[in-house]
Amino acid sequence: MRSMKILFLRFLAVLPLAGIAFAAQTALMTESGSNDKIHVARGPGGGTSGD
Amino acid sequence: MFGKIFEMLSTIRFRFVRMLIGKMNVPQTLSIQLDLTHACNLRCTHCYHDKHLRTNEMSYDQWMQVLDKYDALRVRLGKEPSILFCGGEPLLSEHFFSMLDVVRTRWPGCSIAVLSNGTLIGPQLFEGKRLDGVRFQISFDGVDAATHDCVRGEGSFERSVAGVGYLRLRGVPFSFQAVLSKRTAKFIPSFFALAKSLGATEMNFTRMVAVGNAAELMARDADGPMEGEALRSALVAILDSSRTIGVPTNTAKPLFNIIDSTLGAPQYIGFQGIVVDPSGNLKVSSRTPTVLGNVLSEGLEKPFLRHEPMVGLRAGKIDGCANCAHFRKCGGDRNVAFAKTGSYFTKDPGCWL
Repeated sequence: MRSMKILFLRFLAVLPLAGIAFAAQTALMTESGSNDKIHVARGPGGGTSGD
Repeated sequence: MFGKIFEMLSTIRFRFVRMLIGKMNVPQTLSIQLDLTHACNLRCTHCYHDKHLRTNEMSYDQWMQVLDKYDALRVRLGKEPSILFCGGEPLLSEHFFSMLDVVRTRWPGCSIAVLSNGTLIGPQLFEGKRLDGVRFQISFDGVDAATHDCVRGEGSFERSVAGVGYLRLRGVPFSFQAVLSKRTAKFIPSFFALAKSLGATEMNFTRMVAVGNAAELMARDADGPMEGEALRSALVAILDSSRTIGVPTNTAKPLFNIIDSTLGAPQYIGFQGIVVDPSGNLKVSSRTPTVLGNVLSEGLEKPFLRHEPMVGLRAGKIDGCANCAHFRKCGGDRNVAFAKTGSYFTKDPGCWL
């Protein structure tokens, strides 16, 4: 099931649809911890930090 | 006529992409950090900028062009807006309040954050100004005047504390951020206690990146980034202090996943977090000097989506991390790697694995 999902994301990642391809690339290469919300008030990438 | 049809098609396209992305575990926002000015009223010993000259800064109209290009890109990528004002010290920019109004009007309800040293916050600057919908991140690099002012200058601790007192009075949420280094790691529990006592919503840490003034500090052996077992212990202390003192901390960062498999996230550099400097240069990140292009002359989309470092980072081409089980929830700190090796594609020098 997981390999099917990865294959599907790889297919989406090469589509000439910038938004979907970009999101598929992000999903293929990154993942956020399921428990972050216990310690963090925001989702990744959208908060303050200046990183 | 054609304009309206084009606008309608754009809206349908945006909603379709939003619907699909909404089902994926990916950031739903495309944040942009607007470095409004290089100017700063402090001269911090570890700052990643080594000079604070107001040269070649964009006009208000040019900033509006940057916002237009950002909006076009984030719509194309199906993302919600998220705006960060930074600098230098953003409150020293003549455009700060007008830009704040523009952002608030253009994207009602969007996340707006101001990254400030806190020393200029008070009635003199903010009386009569709207602050609703804005949250502040205030920098603290010590837990009292003695440990803070040796980095940020005499009297700065007292002025920052007064600044957050004013925010509290106005009901504006604020978090604290400290640079995590060999020096500050000793104060981790005290940072959380300070945050709690002053009413901060979070106590966050960002690892020291040895560029700008910090590189000079490191050369003098006065301070430096943490690595290996010392860094692991510091991250564990952050988690422990957050839990015991009861102030949240941001764990959606590299390396936390190695300590706790339910935590951690990569920095999303290349995927998320556009940084535009006061001259309109698009940067890989705020803490490294690499410029991808100028937004005014080259636009935003091409350099962000097609420039070599961004393409490589999105492809996950990190030497020494390819087979690591933690990679997708860690990725290593790309800024720290660049500062040490000159490459964004080397293993995080702080990693203890």
